[in-house]
Amino acid sequence: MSEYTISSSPHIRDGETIPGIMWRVNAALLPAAAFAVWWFGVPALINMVVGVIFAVASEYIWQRAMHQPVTAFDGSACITGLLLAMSMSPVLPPYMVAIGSVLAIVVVKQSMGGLGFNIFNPAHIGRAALMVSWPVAMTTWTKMQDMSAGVDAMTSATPLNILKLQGYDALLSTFGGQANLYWNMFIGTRNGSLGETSTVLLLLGGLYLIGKGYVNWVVPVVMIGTVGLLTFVFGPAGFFTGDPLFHMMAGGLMLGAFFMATDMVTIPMTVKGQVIFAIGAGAITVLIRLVGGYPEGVCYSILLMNALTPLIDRFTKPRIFGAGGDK
Amino acid sequence: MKELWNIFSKGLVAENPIFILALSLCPALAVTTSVVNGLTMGLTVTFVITTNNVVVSIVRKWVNPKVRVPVYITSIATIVTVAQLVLQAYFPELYKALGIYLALVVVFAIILARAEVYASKHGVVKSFADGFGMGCGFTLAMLIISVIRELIGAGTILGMPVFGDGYEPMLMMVLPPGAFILIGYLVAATKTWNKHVEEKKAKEARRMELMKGAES
Amino acid sequence: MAEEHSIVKIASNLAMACFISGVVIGSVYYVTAPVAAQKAELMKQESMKALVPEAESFEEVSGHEGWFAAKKDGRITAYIVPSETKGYGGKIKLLVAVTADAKVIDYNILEHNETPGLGDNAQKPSFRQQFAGKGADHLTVTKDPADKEDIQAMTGATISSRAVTRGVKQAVEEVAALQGGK
Repeated sequence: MSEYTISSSPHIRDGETIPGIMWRVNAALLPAAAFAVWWFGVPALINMVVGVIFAVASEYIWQRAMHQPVTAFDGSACITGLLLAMSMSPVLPPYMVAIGSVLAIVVVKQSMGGLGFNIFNPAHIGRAALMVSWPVAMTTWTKMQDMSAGVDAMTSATPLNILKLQGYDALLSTFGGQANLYWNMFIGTRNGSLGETSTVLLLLGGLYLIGKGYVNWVVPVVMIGTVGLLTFVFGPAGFFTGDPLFHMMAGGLMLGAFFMATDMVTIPMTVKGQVIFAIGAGAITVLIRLVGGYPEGVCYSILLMNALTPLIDRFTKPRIFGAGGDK
Repeated sequence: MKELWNIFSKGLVAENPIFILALSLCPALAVTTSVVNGLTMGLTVTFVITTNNVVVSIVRKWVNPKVRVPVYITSIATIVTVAQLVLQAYFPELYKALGIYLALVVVFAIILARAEVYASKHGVVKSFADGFGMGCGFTLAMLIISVIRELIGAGTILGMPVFGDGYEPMLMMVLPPGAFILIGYLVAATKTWNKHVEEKKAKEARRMELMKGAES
Repeated sequence: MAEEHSIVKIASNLAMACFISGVVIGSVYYVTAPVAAQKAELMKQESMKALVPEAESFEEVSGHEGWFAAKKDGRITAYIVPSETKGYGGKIKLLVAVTADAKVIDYNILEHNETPGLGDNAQKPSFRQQFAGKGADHLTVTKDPADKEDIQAMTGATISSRAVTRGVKQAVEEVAALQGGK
């Protein structure tokens, strides 16, 4: 070997490479993405393709221009583009997806130093930037022709929108009862962001990643659990009357918890830190959903906790054995 | 004359108050949402900094060093108040648009910095050139930032639509996050440019030396 | 050098600076103050004129602070009523022009903190024009595009739409109360 890599312990070698892991994360997203194309149609496909192409292309151009080794095709830019498109409305104009992808890669990832140096999840900053830039387009959802419940023939509201503006009873009547609501939320036949609707397929993808050991189960489980617990406690009709199942499946929680809050770069390093991170993210999500002005808060909660990650790391850093005195 | 030009021109790029000295970032973020506001703020600051440099340079011999900073601040506050009164009387719309930031010109670091660092140690003419150069650099920076922000964030320049009706303005650019990101990249661009200029100068100097060496 | 830094010397130095500063500001103020007052009055008149174009003069209404009555041929044709309401981002201050028989003419937003691009569209004609000619009974916000009678909410800004409508309605009701009391 002519090159030596110096890194911190433990030094365990295995066959995994960055591209290997990244492409498998992409693969884990594919079922939900394919479902989106079936459910929302061609616009969903176009948005995802545009997101991926612009993310990879801008990373490639940046790395060439800055005379850096080109790693644009290692799959991580592809994940960013795909996640960005999946976390937004399927009827968003494709050029906005393209701008979001470029912002995510150039501003959030490469300007910070590239893979491993970004403080925030690139896809989420891209989404937040688009949210402040074009608030109307970002909150315009698909006109749903036919929900399987068939009660409301034409609606462009997401379940969380209905909950925020009209209340829980309206939500039930829109879907035709609780069982129907749960079933539609589970399968994914509901309105919402492109790739967030299908709870079951996102769960499958997430479990695959956990099974492979690419992400640990702590963050998603604790985050979703926190959301479930808090929404149950602070229900619409007083304490302990909430609907945790709905809240756990609604909005971008599944997508965010499994694929964004597990981004190794932007979350704390220790398990203890990750538990704090996940509880915080879950609590902020619930706070925004129940009290705040927006119907959904997964994106902002994860970004806020990303910002706190260095601080959490500082407080949960394991002490070097034998060093330091009593606390 | 060459010397005066050098004093004046260093404020434009090489020591640009916003992009290089990074003083007075507050107005660069807050009032650059439109070209009119950015330009008015730039010109006001140019007026204040130039006048103040001249005043400080004149009175520097009589000011007791123990109270020099309070005296400079009094001078700045006076000039700013005069500018404020004049704007209020003759350009009330601009006065309203600049709002609180006009009064805040008093505490802009760049003005006190130039008084302390330069005008209190140099003659009137040189101090004038320094203040005017810094003011122009500040105005230039404000102009660049506000043109980009208004163009992308509102689709207009000086209030006139530039793109067709189909253009949907990217609101982030007129909001604070857009300003932060934009200024970051402009600072990077200016630093790169300065580095490039310095490298060129160094090369030139080396070449001259070689030629001299060859001649002798 | 002790004399050089004596407290009296320092104090007189600073006092001198302040004195000169006071003289300068005072003399500038002496020149600009009347002009500024004139301009401010002119701007106020112009903004009221923009709300009620056909009015010939404006007079303050006694007993109601900030109210102005728009007069034409010596008769009161409209009132300009300040109104305050709570929007998405805090207080919204409005100036509402209401006819003598309590119908909206137009309004002007003086101060607000609504989201740019969403709530601040309340200033745009497309939303504002809906108010013209409406009485208190139709000043409610609807989200049904087929409902032409009421006020159509701005896309993505229901809270701001409701707030502005509430503020306008308040002003209309106040004018109605004033007329009824007479």
